[in-house]
This record gives sequence, structure tokens and C-alpha cells, in this order.
Amino acid sequence: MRPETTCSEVRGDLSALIDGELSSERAAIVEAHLAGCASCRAEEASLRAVRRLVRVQAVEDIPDLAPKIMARIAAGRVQALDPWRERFRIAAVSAAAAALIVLGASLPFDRTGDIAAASDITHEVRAAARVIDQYRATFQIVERGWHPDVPVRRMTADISFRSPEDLRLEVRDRTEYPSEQWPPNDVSLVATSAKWWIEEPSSCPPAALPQCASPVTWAGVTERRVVVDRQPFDGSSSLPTDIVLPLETLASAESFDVEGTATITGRRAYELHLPYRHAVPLVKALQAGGAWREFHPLDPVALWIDAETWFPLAFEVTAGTSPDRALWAERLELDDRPGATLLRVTATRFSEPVGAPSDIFRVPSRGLERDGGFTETIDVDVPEPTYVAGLRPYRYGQTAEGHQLATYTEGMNYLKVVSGTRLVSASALQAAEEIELPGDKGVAYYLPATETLGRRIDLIVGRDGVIQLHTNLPRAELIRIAASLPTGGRAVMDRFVKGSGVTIQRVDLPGAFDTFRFSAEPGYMPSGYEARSAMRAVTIDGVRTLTVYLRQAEAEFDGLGIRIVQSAPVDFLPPSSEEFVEVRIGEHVGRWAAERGELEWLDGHTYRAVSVPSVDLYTAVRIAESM
Amino acid sequence: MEGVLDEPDPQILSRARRGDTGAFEVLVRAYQADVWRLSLHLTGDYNLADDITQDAFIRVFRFLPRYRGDSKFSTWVFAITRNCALDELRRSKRRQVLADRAKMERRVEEVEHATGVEVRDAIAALPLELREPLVLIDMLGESYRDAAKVLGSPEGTVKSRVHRARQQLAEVLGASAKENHDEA
Repeated sequence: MRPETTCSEVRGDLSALIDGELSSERAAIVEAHLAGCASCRAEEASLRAVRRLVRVQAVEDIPDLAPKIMARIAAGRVQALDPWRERFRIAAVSAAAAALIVLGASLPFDRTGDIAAASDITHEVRAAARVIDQYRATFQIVERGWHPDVPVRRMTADISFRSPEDLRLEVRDRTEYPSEQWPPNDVSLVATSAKWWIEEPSSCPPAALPQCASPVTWAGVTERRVVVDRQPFDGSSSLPTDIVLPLETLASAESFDVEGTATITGRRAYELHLPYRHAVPLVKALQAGGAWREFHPLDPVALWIDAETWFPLAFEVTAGTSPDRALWAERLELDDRPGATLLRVTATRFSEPVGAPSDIFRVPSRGLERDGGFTETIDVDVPEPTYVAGLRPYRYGQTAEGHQLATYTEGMNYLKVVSGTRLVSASALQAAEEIELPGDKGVAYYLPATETLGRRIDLIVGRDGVIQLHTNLPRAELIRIAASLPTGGRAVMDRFVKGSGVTIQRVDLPGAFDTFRFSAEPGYMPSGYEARSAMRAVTIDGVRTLTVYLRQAEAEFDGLGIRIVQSAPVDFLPPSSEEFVEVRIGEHVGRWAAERGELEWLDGHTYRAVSVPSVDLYTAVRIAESM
Repeated sequence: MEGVLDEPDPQILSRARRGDTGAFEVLVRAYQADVWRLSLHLTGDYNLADDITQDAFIRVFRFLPRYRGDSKFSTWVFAITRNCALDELRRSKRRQVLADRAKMERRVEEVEHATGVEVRDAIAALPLELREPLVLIDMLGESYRDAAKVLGSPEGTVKSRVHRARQQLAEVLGASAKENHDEA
């Protein structure tokens, strides 16, 4: 009998046939082929033999671990989840497994001998954030140039963290100050999911020290503040977790360079280089309170990150060398030698303890109290995404404003879904990127992470409803989560008129720079920036303006990205009382307002302005000259 | 057949869900062999397998209130075990251990037939994505459907991967596989 099917069609089904996993129709077809094909029969026999060998393997000398497991449970270190959590519907969680599956594909990259690529490091830090449970470390801090009378300060910082939201930070100042009048920079921060407490010296501008501080005891000059009923993952009482794992600092592979490997405190580390403006969440992590020196956005930062655990082992900020930086230092009356080390932070020990003493995270209640206004309740009506990147339901409740929220977490990662009306105004979304959600789910508005807030997506639903998603997961995950919400989002009113009679309208990307005849496109954009939002405006007297926002994908710790404004007809630069510097841009003369980081010039009857975050004149001029 | 477990007694399960440790111990005893085997074959390290088995059951205990019977209990437990194993692999970066024969042979019972060691090595040498479905299906007796749930991948993927796993094993074991077949 001639087989009616080809061997290649049948072979892929042979294992399934042996396992009884084929439909009876398909099995009959495959069996018929086998009957007439000796080579497929041989293949089948060989597969059967392998299957049997593997199954025989299953005999093992298996240890009895039940006593150990039961002892750990009995020791009280393990508690079953609170019953209230159980009531949370886990969106049909395909076999509960989906909620627990961790990125099966994200195994450690192979880096034998190779320098890891920046994207590998970003990836590994994200993976580590997902599995982190507890962390403790001690850092030594050496800071230079804080005050003319105190050239060097030395401090230690102890930090304990328990995912997702318990944190304790103690900074102890070991500096020998010129006199006892100087307040030590001792800072304590203790936070749990619902409560947040800080103790720090009262803010005295360094220039006013030591007179400004009370000389007798520090009792009067120490401030204590406490937030009760704190909202989960609250931005205004945020936690400096980048010192545990630099999740936001290294969120984008474009924001740092891998310089090489080094051995730091006996451990293998990657040396990463990045400007201070990209390292803000890390550098400021140990500066949650107290008084610290300032850094220029482009001051070079070197970070040594452990090649195994991805914990930061050390970092160093040095003074930048650009003329722009010198101007900045002059304005702040800082006397930094270019290239000098300004801050050095080194881990002296770190560990991932199992079961920290529970009183480590006990939050004191003394202090000026602020009510976070959060009420925990299971009775919330929050749209539930069907995809939550494997995070687990965490806390949910209601804010003082009546917004409903649900949170999800795993390790250090979090997702917060907030639902309510009038959460955001249309104009507040101007600088946000309009994203078409996959699966015909309408549009959503995306904002990168800031120093204290996570990445955010807003969906406008119905007349004035808003669903807001906040997360420290990457942008791509956030978009996927947004697209899995039961409701799609609609565009903010396409066109709106402000009180002053200005009509404002969103412009499609790309091609935004072609909106008006007078608008020009920059040929140069700093790495990592892309045009992500554009608005056109027309005043009643016919002045047309195009505003384009160039933004980063994952995080921006220095404001609203780069803004390019072009307006016509305009005959003179608006008068300004600010100090500015005259700058040559090609054949034009522009003015640079360092305070705002804005470069403005007239090109015929067209007004153009480039606002760069982080007061960086060099970047502004480069963009301007490329237009 | 080897490794096929009945679903747990609903009464035991419901008592364990309410935090009854006696009932939970019954579940531990019923499932620990399979959990341990899965851990061993995912990591290739006996000591890690011991740790992962413990961690997995601690997690099972913690999350038990959330298990609502959408899948078989064993499938759910295996998914948790796999996560613990992957976490452990990620954490300790011990992937290279997988190829470390010395460790694999350390506790092999002497009485075992020599072919056993050979097959074990061949399985350990499979890439993780092929080894996972093979272990679940052939050693733990999971159906394609349940294995797909544990792995969070489509059933079709599981089907083709287990097939590829066996093909690779057949190639590596060539002679001994045939021999075995001829005997049978």
C-alpha cells in the first residue's frame, strides 16, 4: 500500500502519536502512513525506545524533605496569604501559572569573557528586580565641596529593604565639623506599605550655615515627618530603591556605556559610565533627606555594578569639564576643580538575608503628620488588565479624592491601576506620547518615568473617566498591559480652545516638523530622544506656533524632555528680565537663558526656541544649528 | 505509569488552604518526589534541587489560598516549582552546572544499569527549552496540555519541543536506544 501522506508531514506527529496526544482522525492517517513506510516505522521505534529509556530514568534516590519544609512553616516564618487577597479575582489567570511564570526566556546571558552589552545589563537588572526579596547593605560616603568651610564630609549609610515596599535607611554623619554649631547630616527613613517616616536636619541653605542652625542641641533643628495611610507606591513619599537595584537608572540601555570589568571590594563588577542626569535616582537614593551638595547634569558618573547580583558596589561623581559647567558652578558659588571626585559611595557589605528581624521596619509615629488619604478596601471597581506581566495582586483601595486603585507586585516591580474621573486635564497630556494600542484598543497617553514617579499610561474612557497605569516595568510591558484592559481609550479632545482664544491641536507624528512652511526639523537629536508629541496652536491674531517634544522612551529625570518651539510671524524676541548669554547659531545670534535651559533666536520672521533639560548649552546649540 | 498523580483529596486540599499544616504535610508527601525530580532536571544540581523543593512548597503553602482549581493541582505546583528553579538559575547563575557531569554522577546509585547514567547525561545536555517539556511529559506524566500550562507556552510548541527532545536523545543515544528496543 502506498502511503498517501509524505514522510515529512508525518514525522512531526510521531511523538504525539506515541503519547496518545493526536486526534483519532489524525492518528488514523499517521498509522496508515506507518503501515506502508519502513523508514518512518524505524523512526517511530527509535522514538519509542527513547521515551521508554527516559521513563525508566525516573527512579531516583529521592530525599524526604517534608520534615524540613514543615519545620520552616511551623517556625512561623511562612504565612499563608491574607484571606482578603484571595478575594481578588486573578483574571482567570490561565491556570494560575501565568501569574507566577517569570520570563522563561530571560536566563542569564552568556558573557564568558565578553563585556556585557548595555541592553544585557538592563535586562539582568530587571530580572533581578523581579526576584529580589530582601536586601541589606552598608555604604561609605565621601562627599567633597559641600561647603567652603567643610571641604570633606564622611558618612555611612545602612539600608534594609524587603520587597515590595519596606525600607529603612540610616545615614550617620561622621564628619568633624569646624564647630559644634554645625548640624550633623543624620537622616533616618523608615517606610512600609502604609506608613512613611523621615527624620532629618531642618533645611538650612549651606550658605547660611552654621548661623542658621540652632546651636544648643539638635532637638529643635531636627524635623520629623510622617505619612500615614500612605498610598501604595506613592510618588510623594517614594522609596529610594535604586540603591538596592538601579532599576530606573539603568532602565534604558541608551543612557549608559559599559566601560569594562573591574574588581571592587573583591567582587567582579561592570564599570558603567553615565552622566549625572541619568544617574539621579541612584545618586539621590542615599540623599532622601538632609543637606547635600549639588551636581551638574553632565557631571560624569562611574558606577560599578556586581556582575552576579546586579547590586551597585560603588559609584563616583566627578566634576565635568565643559565651560557650561564652569558657568553653572559660578552661579551656585561652587569651587569645583574640573575632573575632581565630588562624591564617592562604596558598599562595605551587602547581603540578601532570609528573614530579617521584623522590628527593622517598624515605623515610628512621632512627627508632623500628613494623611496620605488612602483607604484600603477590597470593594473597589478598577478595570483589571488580563495581562499583568506575571505580577501578583497586592493592595487595593481608594484615595482621598475618591479614585479607586489596585496594585500588583513581584519583587521590586509594581503596577498600579488608578481609575477615576478628572484625574488629568487635556493640557497636562500635551507632552505625552499618543500611542495606538495593539488590538484595536484605541489610544493611550504615555509618559516616561521621572525621579519619583514610574512610567505612566493614561487612557481616557467615556466622557471624563481616566484609567491611569503606573509602573516600573519597561515601556513595552506597560503598553502590553494597557492593551489588555477591558476598555479601550479614546483620544483627548482633538482640538481645544483655551480661554485666551488660542486653538490648540495635536499634530500627527512623524512629519510634525512639516506642519507649517516656516517650521524646520533638526537634523540632530541627542541619543535616546525621539519626537513623541507635537501640538500646533493658532492665536486669534494669526500667530501660528508648532511645539514638538523630543522625549526618551523609558525615563527622564530632568523635566519634560527637549522642547522645540517655532512661531511665525514674530518680529522680536519677547523681552526678558533674566540674565542671558549671547550665543552664535550659524548666522544668527541667539540668547541662552541658563536658568531655564532655553536657547531662543529669530530666523527672519520666525521665532525658534530649543529648551533642553539639564541646562546644557552645547546640546541646545547643536540641535539649533542642525535645523 | 511513572509519575502520574491523582488529584489531591478535596478535603485535604481545603483544610490545607485554611492553613492546616497537618493537611499540608499530606500534600508535601504526595508531591515532593515529583517536585524534586523536576527541580533536579531543570538545574542539574542535587543540592539546588533540595533547596528548590523546599522553596517551592513554602510558596505553595503561601499561595494556596489563591489556588482555585482552574488547573490540576499538580500542574499548578509544577508551575511554581519551575519558577523557583528559574529564579534559582538566574540568581546563582549556575547554568554551567547543567553540563557538569561530575555532580550528576555523584549520587547515582551504584546498582543502576550503566545505560541509566548515559541517558541521564544526555537529558542533562539538552537545552533547557527541550528538557523542560521532556521532563514534564515523560518523567512526571503530564499531558501536553498541562505541560503547556506549566510552561506558559502553546500546546503546539510543547508538542514540537518534546518531539525534538526525543529526536536529539535518539541521535545521542543511537546505539543503546536501538539495543534496548531490540531487547524489547
